[in-house]
Amino acid sequence: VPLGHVREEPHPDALTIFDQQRLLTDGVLLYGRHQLDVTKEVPRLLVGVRQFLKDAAANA
Amino acid sequence: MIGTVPEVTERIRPRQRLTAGVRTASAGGSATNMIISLCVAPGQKPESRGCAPFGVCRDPTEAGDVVAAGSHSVGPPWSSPTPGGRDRTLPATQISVGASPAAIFSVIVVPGRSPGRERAPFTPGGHETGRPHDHSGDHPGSASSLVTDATVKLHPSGCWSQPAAGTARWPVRAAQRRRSGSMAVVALGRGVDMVRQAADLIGCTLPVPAQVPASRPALHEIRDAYEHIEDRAPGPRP
Repeated sequence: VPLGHVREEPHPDALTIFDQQRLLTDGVLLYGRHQLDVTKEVPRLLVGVRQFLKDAAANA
Repeated sequence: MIGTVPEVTERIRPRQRLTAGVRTASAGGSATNMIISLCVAPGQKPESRGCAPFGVCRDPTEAGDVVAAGSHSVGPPWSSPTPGGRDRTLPATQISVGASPAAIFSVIVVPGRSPGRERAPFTPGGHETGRPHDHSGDHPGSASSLVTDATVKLHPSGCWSQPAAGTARWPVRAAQRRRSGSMAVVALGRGVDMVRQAADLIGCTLPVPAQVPASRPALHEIRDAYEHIEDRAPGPRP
């Protein structure tokens, strides 16, 4: 079975970026053992980052 | 060199599922990229939705529109110098037709550039694929594999998953989520990096939001995978 590469080396996780069935069913991005919830986790992260950058700019 | 560029046409009924695949045989030497397009045949204007594992989907608005296009890099380990090489079938591309008049779809195989490292956007039918990291080319004749067959397989009606009432048909949602997810992850990754480096680079004393360290490992890895998507696929190495 051919493997995709990570940093120019064959890696068992590489091809998992193309398998996003759970994005359709659960709104979750998967890559290897990592997962990111696009519907819940990402919006929370976006709000936190946005607020941080606004505060940082205001305090500069 | 590409020996043939086949085009296969099939009639598909409403709510019937279609799988398109391409079979290639290595002629030896280096590998090639190929681009699969599903086109609405001239004279047809169905209400259809498509979804491709590699590429984008869109609603056809006029005859000849490409509703699904995918590119796939085929290469090692089968690109041995042995004449004849090994056969390989590319990942299937699926498309469905909603409650519309029967439509005819064509599968067109376009040979890409080998090894396909240059950034040359492929625009089937004049439409941008929308894949920012698609490095596959569109220069026929530079490949070393032989396209031997293009197939269209029709599945029984009713086997396509139906979404809940009031929601979009899931192939459309799939394309939208795939695109939205990719853009969100890459952009968010940059934002998170700014937050993490704010203390060191600009002396910011604000506490880092709790979500950042919690989500950063997954975000980082997924973002890297999108950024270097051409390396993640098994294919020719530079």
